[in-house]
Amino acid sequence: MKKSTGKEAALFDRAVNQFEDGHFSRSLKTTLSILKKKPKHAEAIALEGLNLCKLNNYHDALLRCQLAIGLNAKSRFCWQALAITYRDRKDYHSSLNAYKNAIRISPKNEGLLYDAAYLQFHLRLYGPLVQSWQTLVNLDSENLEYRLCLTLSYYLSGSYERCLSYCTDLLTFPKLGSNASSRLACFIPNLALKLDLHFEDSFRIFQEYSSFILNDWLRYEQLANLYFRFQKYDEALHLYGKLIAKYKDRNDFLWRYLKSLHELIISKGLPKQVLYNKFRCLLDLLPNAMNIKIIILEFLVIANLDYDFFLQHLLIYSKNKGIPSAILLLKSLIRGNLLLAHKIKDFLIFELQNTNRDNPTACLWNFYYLSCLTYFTFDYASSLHWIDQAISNLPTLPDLYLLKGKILSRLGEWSEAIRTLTFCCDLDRGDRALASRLAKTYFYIDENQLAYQSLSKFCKDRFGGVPIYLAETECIWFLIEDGESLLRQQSYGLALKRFHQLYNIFKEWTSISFHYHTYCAENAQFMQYLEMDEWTKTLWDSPAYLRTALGATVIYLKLHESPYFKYGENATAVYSMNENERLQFDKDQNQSMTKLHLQEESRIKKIKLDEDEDPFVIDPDLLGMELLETKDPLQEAMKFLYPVRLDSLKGWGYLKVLASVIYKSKGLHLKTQNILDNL
Amino acid sequence: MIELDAINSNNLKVLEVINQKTIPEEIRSFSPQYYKETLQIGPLAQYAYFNNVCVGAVRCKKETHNKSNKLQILSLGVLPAYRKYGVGSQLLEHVINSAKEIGSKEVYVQLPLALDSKNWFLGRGFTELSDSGNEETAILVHHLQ
Repeated sequence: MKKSTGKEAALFDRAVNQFEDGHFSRSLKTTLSILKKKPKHAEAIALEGLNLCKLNNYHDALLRCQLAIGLNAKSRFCWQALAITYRDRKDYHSSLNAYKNAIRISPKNEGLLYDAAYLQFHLRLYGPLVQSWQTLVNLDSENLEYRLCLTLSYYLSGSYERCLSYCTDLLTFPKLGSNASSRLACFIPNLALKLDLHFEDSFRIFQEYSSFILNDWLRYEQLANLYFRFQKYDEALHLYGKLIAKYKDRNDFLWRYLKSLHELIISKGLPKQVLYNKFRCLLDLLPNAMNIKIIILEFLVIANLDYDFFLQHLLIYSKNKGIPSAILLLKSLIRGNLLLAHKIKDFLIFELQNTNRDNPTACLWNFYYLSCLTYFTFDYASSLHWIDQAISNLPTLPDLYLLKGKILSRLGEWSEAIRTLTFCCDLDRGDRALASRLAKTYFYIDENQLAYQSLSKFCKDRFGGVPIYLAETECIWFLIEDGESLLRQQSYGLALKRFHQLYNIFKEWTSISFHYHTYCAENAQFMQYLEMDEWTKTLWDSPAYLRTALGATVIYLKLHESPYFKYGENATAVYSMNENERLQFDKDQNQSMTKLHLQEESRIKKIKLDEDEDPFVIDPDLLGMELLETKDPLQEAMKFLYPVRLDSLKGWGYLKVLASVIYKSKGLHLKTQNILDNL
Repeated sequence: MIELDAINSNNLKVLEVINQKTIPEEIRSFSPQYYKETLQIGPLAQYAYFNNVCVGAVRCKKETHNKSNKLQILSLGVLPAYRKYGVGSQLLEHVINSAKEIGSKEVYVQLPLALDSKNWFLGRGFTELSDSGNEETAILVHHLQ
């Protein structure tokens, strides 16, 4: 930060030092003493804002920084303070704009360029990102981090040739550590793929730089993938075989091994029996690797080959070892292949009738597998029959009642489902998953209080009870089910509360990635960075978030259409009231909400906290009524819709229709058209 | 494979289920107090697991008469599908070992004859007392050395 001169300058310098040392309260005090004598000292006001920001008073921090800009728009310090405040509030767009203004004043300030570049990473502004890092590298060509970040930004902006050139240069850079070199060398084959190079060029590049790869196994993996990509299955097979022996849990290696073997046998015109014998050898070599059995079966089913032996092997092994999850792992295969479902059923029934009589647990798992199988194929009546058989065999296992509860739910027999799941929870009161299933079923029938009760054992007490604790612990399924149930019951304030809590969780997860940009770039963890980037992109397209967006959009659209909507089930009655009656109604509502609020406060005050526990946070808007009083419901709805890639999303037609109505109302015709084109 | 494990507050209900399935209610029923007290007796109540699923349970009571200890078996049951695999024998063996550990001189059971399991106990070192005082119940005793 820039140092000033004079008496106030010494104080200001002290305040800056205190800030940089992390003593924000002290720095604030020193800054206020400057402002007593010079209330219009722009940079002191900006520093005051920065300290307030660090002390979590974002609202006042922003006001102070904006005031500072108003007083001196040519101060780099003031713009930087504003940028940092926006960044800490996670308003990255505004932060970047403020940094741009600061950079305009000090174009060669490395700190500003650096901070702006990380915002560009986060906001995926790859063109400007490349420019920022190029400027930084020009300012300091020996800085390794700058060069690494420039290399990555070339990749992100699609300049793969430049990226490759920079990667290969970096490998000879003296400051680059051996681990970072190894990661870069592993990254290079991705560039060859992006550049669509021929095998000879790809192989030559690999040979040139593979010596930097520290770990032999990583080298084998890279080489195996290269051979596989270019269909050199002979070489790929040998390497994947080695890799499977070392990394038994790597299903991708296994899948490629099977594929290579299959392709080789076809190309050499060998009989299929050779393939089956090889697969049997693999099973003998790793007899207890469940994933291998599943993957082999999946491969054979998908490739339309004979899988009977392997299916029976898998089922017999699973039943004898008592692995209930085996049938669950085949769910997607069974749903996609009726013939497979029939074969499994025929085999299990044969086993029941002929070989299981003397082995009670094998018999039990037979019943269970049959119940799961028929459940997956939507034959709920049969599924119920089989699970009852399993329960007769073993009435003490909660998993059986769990499945029965699910079947009864599907059949619409809610009271029986609840009774069964309650019994299931009684068998193991420490199992949170069982309690969660019971709670979910209560939500389906809109018994929210009973749902909260069933989960209360696993929750700490909070102001607002179970829902607030589960929002704190980011329990997504709970918030969605509770929110949708409240929406059905016309408790719109509370429903909006849940949807907002969900939105904040997703936003927080996305913002966490902000802290990893630096880490990944500095350590040349480019692959990990790309995976993280992909994850944050798809986060907002997940069914969990889409349900949130849909719920919130429905409510906000209705609020926009009618001001009476916020009254929920009382809307019709309120609509027919005169003004005085309506005022009285509102007054009564407010009074009852205040009473509820006070009751909850008084309840929570009686609870004794542990020494290390923070005091309870009192939520001023416990029932979400302030959310319903929004002046611009459509703007609020757009906040939920903005992160979703509606123009490329598959399905979710209703959400798209609602979104197009909102965007059209707001005059965003291009966005509307893009969504409608994707319908 | 048979393993034994303790009963705790989370899985106490399983004992109730095993008792209901192995001892008809008209022969003997157990009060809520019986289950509540089960949590306080430690190793004198055990579940039996056969291939990792719970198939049986035993629940005992320690008695002290004139400074000598006795152990009474209040319930011992194995689910019908899992009988004749040695589960009951292993539970009984645990009871006898527990009795020895607490310095008990004998283990006994007041067996309702309607349960038709007298021979099972007799085949495992129990003897019948000549006078049980009740036509419907036999008292079977295992003396420990």
